[in-house]
Amino acid sequence: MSQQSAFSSPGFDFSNSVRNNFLQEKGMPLPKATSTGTTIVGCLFKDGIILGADTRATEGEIIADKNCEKIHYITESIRCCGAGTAADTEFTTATISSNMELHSLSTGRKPRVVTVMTMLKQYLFQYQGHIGAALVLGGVDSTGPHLFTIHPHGSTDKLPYVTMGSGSLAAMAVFESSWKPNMERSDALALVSAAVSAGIFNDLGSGSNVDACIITATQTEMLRNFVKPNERVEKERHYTFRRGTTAWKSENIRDLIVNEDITLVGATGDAMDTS
Amino acid sequence: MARRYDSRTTIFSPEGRLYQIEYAMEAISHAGTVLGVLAKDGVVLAAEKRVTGKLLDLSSAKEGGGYGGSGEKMFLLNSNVIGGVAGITSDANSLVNYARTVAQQHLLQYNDDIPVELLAQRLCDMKQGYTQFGGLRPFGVSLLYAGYDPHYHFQLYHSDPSGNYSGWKATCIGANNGTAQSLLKQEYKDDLGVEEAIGLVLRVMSKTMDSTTLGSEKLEFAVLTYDEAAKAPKAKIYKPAEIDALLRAEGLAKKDEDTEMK
Amino acid sequence: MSIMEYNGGSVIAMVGKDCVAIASDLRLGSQALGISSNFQRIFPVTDRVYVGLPGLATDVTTLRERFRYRVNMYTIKEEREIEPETFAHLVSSTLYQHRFGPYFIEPVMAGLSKTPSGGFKPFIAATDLIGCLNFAKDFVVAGTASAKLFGVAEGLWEPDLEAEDLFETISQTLLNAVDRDAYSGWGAIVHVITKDKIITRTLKGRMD
Repeated sequence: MSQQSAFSSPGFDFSNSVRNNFLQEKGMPLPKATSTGTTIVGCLFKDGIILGADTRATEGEIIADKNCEKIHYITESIRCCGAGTAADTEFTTATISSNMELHSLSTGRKPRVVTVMTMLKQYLFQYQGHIGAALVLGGVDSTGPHLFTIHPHGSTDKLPYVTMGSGSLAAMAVFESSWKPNMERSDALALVSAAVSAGIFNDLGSGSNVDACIITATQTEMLRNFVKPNERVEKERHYTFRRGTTAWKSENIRDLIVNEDITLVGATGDAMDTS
Repeated sequence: MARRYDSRTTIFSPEGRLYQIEYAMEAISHAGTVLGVLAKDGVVLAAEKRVTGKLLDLSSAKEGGGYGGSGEKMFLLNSNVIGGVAGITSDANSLVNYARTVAQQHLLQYNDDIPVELLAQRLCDMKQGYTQFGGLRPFGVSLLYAGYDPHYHFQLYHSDPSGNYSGWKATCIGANNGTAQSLLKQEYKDDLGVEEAIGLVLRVMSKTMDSTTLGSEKLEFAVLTYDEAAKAPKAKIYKPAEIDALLRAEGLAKKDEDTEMK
Repeated sequence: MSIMEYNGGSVIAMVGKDCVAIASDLRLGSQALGISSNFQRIFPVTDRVYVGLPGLATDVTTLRERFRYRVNMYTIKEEREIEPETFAHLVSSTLYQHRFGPYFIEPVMAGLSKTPSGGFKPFIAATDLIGCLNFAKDFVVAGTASAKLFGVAEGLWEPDLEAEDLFETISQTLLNAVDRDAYSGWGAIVHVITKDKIITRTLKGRMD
C-alpha cells in the first residue's frame, strides 16, 4: 500500500477532475470562484514607483469582501497588484515571493524586478492561461524603477503607467489625461488615488477603499486604506434582539475549564541546600 | 575474515546468523531501560533517560508543551497508543513519525483508531524490510507499545530490530532488561490494577536503574487508561513535576540523606 | 443547476465581544427533495476552533476527514493545538491544491486565537471553493443562502455583542435568511465559542 504523506506534495492535484468533468457533462456548470473585479494601477514618478488598488472582491454579483488587500508582497522593494481569480493572484504571488527569497539567499543579491517578471510570466505561460492572474508588478532594484503588466497567458508589457482589471479603462483615462514624466511624489500619489477612485466609482467590479504603495530606492511605504471614500456610517438604531427571542430545542454546554489538583513539588521555599 | 559477514545486512554468516541485527540488538541493550506492565484497567510505561545534565534545556518539557515528557523516550503514537523507545534516538524519531502517519492513515480510511497489534505489525513490516534489502542498515530501536482498542482492550507489545513482535503482560527493553524481567516475573500477579502496576513499575525501575535514586531528571513515565466519561482511551505522559509527585507518593523520592557528600 | 446547490445548506460565522459564533442549517437534500433534517456540517477542529463546510455533501465528509488527518498530524508533531489562523491557511492551501479539480465546498471557520499575553482573540474566516481566504472583522457566510445571509447579517450585526446577544443575532440572521432559501432550512444548529465554554444549541426551523 502506498503511503500518503502527511505533507502535501507540491503542484496541483487533479484527482477530482474525472468526477467534476462528469458532473459538468451532466449539465451542472462549475461554480464561480471569488474574483477581484478590480482596478489596479501603477505609475512611474521621479523617485520610483507607486502602485494602487481598490479593495473589493466579488463572487458574481455579490461583494464577497469589502476590504481585501490586492497589493501583494514579493520582496521588500518589489510589490505586485493582482486582478482576476482571487485565489490565483494570492497563491501565484506567494509562490513567486517565496522563490525570490530563496533566489536572493542563494545569489546573495537583492532580486531584480525583471527576474520576478520573468518567473511570473514563465509560470503563467506554463499553465496556458488557466491560472487567471492578471498582475501589475512594480519595484525598484539596482537598475532603477521598473513597472510591468503580466497577463494570465504570460505576455508582459513595460510601460511608465499601467492599469489592469475591470476598472482599467476608467483608471487609464485618468492616467492618459494627467500623467507626466518626473512627477513629484505627492502629485503622483494623488494621480494614482484619482485613477483607482475612477475605477471604484465607475466600475461595478471595483469599490470600497484605495490602497497605495510607494516604492523608492531607499524605502517602501504601504499605505493600506489610503483613502476611504465609502465608509459605512454608524447605524442609527440598534437591532439587537431581547435575550430569549430565539427558541431552542436542546442545549449542550461544553466547559473548557479543567479543574486540577496541584501539588507543589520541589523547591517549596524552605532551604534545602545545607552545604 | 569475520568482517565478510557483518558489513552487510543481507548476508547470512555460515553459522546462520545475521550479524548486523545482533549488533543492533546489542546497541539497544546498552540503551536506557524501558519497562512496561499491563494491568486489567490500564498499561504503565516507565523509561530511564540517558541524556541528562544541568546544561540540557528542559524548559519545554517542564512547561509540558503538549503531552509532557521530554520527548526522549515516550511518544504519543496515536490517541490510543503510547510508545516507549530504546535505542538510537534518531532512528526512533523516524519510526515514531512513521507510526503516527500510519495511525492517521488508518483513521482516515476506516474512521476508527488503529488496533494496537496492527500498528505494531506495520512498524515491524518496515523494520523487517531494513534487514533484507541491500544497502540498508536495521533500525537500532526496540519499542514497547502500550495501547488500547475495543477488540482486545489493553495491550502491551514489544518489537525489536529484526521485525519480531510479541505481546506481554510485563516486559522490559534496554540496559539490565534481564534483571528487570526476572524481577517482574517474581512480582507480577494476574488481575493487577493500574495503581498496583504503577507501584510495581517504579519499584522494579528503582532496582534496575544504574543511579541509586529515582527522580524526574532520569525518569519518564506514562499511563494509558480508559476514560469512562469520554468513552475513549486516555494517554497520559507525565510531566517532570508530576513524576516527582508520584515518586513522593510511592515513597521512592530522593531523600536528603541520599544526596551525595559535600 | 450548480453542483453547489445539489445538497443545499448554509453556514454563517460572526464575531462578538471576546467570543465567536458559527451556525448552520441542518438540511440535506437531493436537489428539491429533502433527505435529512439532521445533517451536521459544522465540526470541531480543536477546543476553540470550529469549521463549517457547506457545499456538496460527499465533499463535506471527505474534507472533514482530510482536515482531521492534517490537524491530528499537526497536533501530535507540534505537541500543541492548531491556531485558527494556521488552520485557515491549511484549509486554503488544501483547497488550492485542487485548483483544477476542486472540492465543491466553501469552508467557514470560527475560533478564538491565543494572544501572547495569554488572552483570546476572536477569529473568523471563509474561503471560496479554491481556497481564496477572506478574513472579515464582522461576519462571513457561505452556502446556498449566502446572498440572503449577507443581506440580513449586514443589517443585524453590530460590534461587541456579548455571547448571549451574539447567539440571538446569529440565530435570527440564519433562521430568517434560510426561510427565503428553498435549499436551506429544516432546523439549525448554533455554536457560541467563548474563552471558557462552548454553547451548542439546536433551533427549531420551518419544515417546508
